[in-house]
Amino acid sequence: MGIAPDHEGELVITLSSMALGAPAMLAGLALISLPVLAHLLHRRARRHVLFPTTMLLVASAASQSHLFKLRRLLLLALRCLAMAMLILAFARPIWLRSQNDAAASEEGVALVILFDISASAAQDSQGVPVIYELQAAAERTIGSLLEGADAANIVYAAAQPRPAFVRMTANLAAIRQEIQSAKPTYERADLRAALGMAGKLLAERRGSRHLVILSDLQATNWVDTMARLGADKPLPDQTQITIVPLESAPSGNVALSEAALSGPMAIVARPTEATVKLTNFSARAQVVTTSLRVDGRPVGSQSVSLGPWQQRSAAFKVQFDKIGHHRLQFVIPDDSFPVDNSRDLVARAVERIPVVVLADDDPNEPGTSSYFTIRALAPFGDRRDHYEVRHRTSAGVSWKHLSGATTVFVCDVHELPTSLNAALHRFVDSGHGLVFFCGAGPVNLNLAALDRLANGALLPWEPGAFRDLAAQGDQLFLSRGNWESSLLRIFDDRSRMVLSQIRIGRVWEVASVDPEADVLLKFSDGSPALAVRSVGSGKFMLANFSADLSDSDLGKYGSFVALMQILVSDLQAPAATGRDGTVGRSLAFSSLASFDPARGGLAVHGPDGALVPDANFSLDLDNLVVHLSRTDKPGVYVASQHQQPIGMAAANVDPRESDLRRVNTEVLREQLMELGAQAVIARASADQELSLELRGRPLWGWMLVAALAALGLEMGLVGYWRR
Amino acid sequence: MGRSAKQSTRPRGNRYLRIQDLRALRHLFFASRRPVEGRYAGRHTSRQRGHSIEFNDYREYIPGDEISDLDWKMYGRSDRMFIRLFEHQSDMTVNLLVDGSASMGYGGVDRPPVAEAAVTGDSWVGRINLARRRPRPAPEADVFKAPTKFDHACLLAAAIAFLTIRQQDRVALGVAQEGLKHFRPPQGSHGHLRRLLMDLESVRPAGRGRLAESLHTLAQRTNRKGLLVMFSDLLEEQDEVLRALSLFAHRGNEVIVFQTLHADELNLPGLAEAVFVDSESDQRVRLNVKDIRPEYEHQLKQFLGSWSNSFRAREMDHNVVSTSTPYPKALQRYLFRRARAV
Repeated sequence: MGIAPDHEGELVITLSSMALGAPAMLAGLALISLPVLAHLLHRRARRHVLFPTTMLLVASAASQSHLFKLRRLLLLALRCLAMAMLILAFARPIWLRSQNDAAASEEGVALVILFDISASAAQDSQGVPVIYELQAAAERTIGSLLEGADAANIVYAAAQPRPAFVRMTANLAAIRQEIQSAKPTYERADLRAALGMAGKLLAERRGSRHLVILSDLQATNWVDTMARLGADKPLPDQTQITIVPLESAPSGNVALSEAALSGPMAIVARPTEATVKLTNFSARAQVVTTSLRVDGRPVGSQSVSLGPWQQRSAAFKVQFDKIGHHRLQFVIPDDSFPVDNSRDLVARAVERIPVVVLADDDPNEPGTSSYFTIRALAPFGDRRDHYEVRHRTSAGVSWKHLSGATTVFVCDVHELPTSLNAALHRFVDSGHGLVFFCGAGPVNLNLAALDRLANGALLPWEPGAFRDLAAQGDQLFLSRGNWESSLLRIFDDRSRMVLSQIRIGRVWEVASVDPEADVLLKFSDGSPALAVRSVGSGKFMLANFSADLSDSDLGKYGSFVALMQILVSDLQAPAATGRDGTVGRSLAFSSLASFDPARGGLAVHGPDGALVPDANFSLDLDNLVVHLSRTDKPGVYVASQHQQPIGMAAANVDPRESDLRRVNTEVLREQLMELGAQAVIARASADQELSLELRGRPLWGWMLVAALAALGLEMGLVGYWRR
Repeated sequence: MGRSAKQSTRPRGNRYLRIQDLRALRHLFFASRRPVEGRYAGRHTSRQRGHSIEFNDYREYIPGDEISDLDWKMYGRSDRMFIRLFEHQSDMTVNLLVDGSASMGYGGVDRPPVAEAAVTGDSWVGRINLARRRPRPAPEADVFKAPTKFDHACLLAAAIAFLTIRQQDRVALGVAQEGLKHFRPPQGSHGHLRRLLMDLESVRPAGRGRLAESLHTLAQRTNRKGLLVMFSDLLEEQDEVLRALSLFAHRGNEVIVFQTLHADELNLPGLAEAVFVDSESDQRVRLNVKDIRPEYEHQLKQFLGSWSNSFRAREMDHNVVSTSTPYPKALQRYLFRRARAV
């Protein structure tokens, strides 16, 4: 038994395996004298019966139970036991299960609350905001700490976790105040980083370390977090983790996600398709009305029937009447998780979509590759075309000439300068499409240079030696293709047959095919003719043919026009969603409107109209690039110069936040155990007193039960014996 | 206050006698099974020779006999002198002995004892209890509805006395209370009956009865064959009492014993636990009634059986009477049974 002064001088009596939190209450043991006194008084006041004779009674007394004489003593013992247990319960005894518990009693508790304030914490669970439940649990947790002896901190788990205080603090009042001000964000929590931060804070303190996880336990986040943790052990040894599951079950949720246009840009005065995905995260079929607003004006609504756990798309035809940025907002009625009931999208409307054809041949000479390619992309040669084709030669082309285009077609070029290679790599890496037609010339050298810039992660297939089949009287045909792919699905049997009859005279041998490549077309000898590979945010497509008449007859056929239209459309698609930022992450977008760098007055305003303080501006050639290190609200962020909008981008809630299903606490417990935590206690109910586990196993509940049991037994025996 | 005023207006001597209760018994004749010896002529068979018309026997003449008693016809036939003997019917003397010991004052668990408290313990609790049990006469209604053993015995004694005097026999009374007390020699007048009743009313059960001693004293004071009716709970030394009763039997008296017991004695009260104090010896025993009830019943059965066998062996009537049985019913039951036996 030891007596250790705590930080405020109050004595905490520590037995070898038990500690008393309020030893002063032991003075109450004097109250045990009450039942003893009552027993003595009652003994005197025992009922006396004046009976005619006790002769027969005495003769019969031998038969009475031996226990009878001890009954009153037994009752007295039960009463004293009840009183003692009651008083001991008030003395807050704790069973010290381990050295950690003993350390907690002697050196105090270090407790960090991992407070999940991700977007999913904004859900209403059975009518109660989850954040309220978490706040209540946090209050109880802090309330269980010993003022002056214990230290605590809060780690808010959001996209960028942050501690409430720089260090562990014993100022519990400040922590309570901090808890009250906690609000859910619109972000997806980086729980891995939050665990790491909690571990660092706990490592500051000696003694008993506790981590209390207050989270909605969203499965999409925790499963991902635990998978990412892998062998990492972010928590110090002997850390006890307590998981507090929510009492209420998650409600069903219908979410919007993946808002997109059919292309990266819309063409003014031409209808385009805006789509959004609706997902029903519940086991109940629902009909959801989805509406779309463009620049604040409603343009339509439609009802979408969703089965359980089903995802469907809603498509709207929209048409923009002027060039520039337009705001699209998809909205569904509010439900228990309103954060994902609207989705913003910024669309850019242009007169025509710019594409670049990079070729060193003469585009006006019939039969050249660029001749056929330009006419395939812009058959009309006027404003009726969707694409504004800009022809460039390899000499003197830089990033500036590529900027603004959605796709670049490289046809018949000489050996490309290094600067151009770098510009092309940057172009495709930043989310654009690059189509490289192999023909004659230093194709292998150009591709090798590009591949080097991409660290070997560019080429779908690697070219070998050049083969002039026509000179040998041989030829190949585009006889096979991945016709079920989204790209080539549009080709019917007749078109396929036509395509398969086109003669290909000059090709490059295929040295190897990258496993990440998607081979779309194959030659009759089985070698890849057209393959695509994702590079950075964009796509690189390599065709083992060109439209030059000396290479193939492809340019002569209408199928080539169809193929080019499909290719340019498909390669633009990645860029369409590239602008859709995620709340909690950085957001970068370019200004398309003309601005004067000399005038200054640049600013970025958030969805609520507030000025975004940490916006960075940089010049990329003539374009202004706006970089927001972090977005904190969903909606449209507008860059302006002297109040004149010059660019905008949308940020939306991470769609993974919409799935409110919770992780199995048992599974999570097992995974957390692997982090080196000493014990993980998954509490059955958030209402339970969390303090009970901080310094060991609390015994006062059991003592109250023992007191009640003793009283109950005493009453039962009295009733039975008086029956 | 109302009760005491009411009591003061009632004539003394009516406490233990309510004649309307005895109407059912008015046709019964209370007689001894044995020949009696009376002072006056009566309706009871006697071994005395008398001058009734019922011939009994012949006896040879002895000088000194009345000459008029000679049967001259017999003398003429046999030349011997015989005297004709006729049966003698005399009155009957009924001796009533009521046990006035403290144990007879028991009226139930919830009723304070009528007697002076027999508890003489020195303990503080004992004194408190004594103060609480200040003796007071039971209300008249209680005597009939919830009588003490003594009340019940007195009711029976009064009824028998009334019946006896009504059939022109004589009744003697004694109370066994530390020896024979309140003895009234046998008489047959209604005034005598009233005095007997007043004597009974004046008795408060207390102390020991000393039945044997009382019986011996009673035997000394009565010398005629008759009837001895004793009312007692028989909580005394059995052999001594039986010896004393046998004295009466040997003298030719018929002995009838009404063993009066309270209902609580026959069936222990429903108490969980209590300290039972002996009303006479102050012996205390702490008991849980539930535990000992079966054994007590066994002991009681043995106790009553022992008395019953002893009385049967001595040709004495033994009747166990519970205070829960109304006294007219108890008396009627006994008299009917007695009549059938005769």
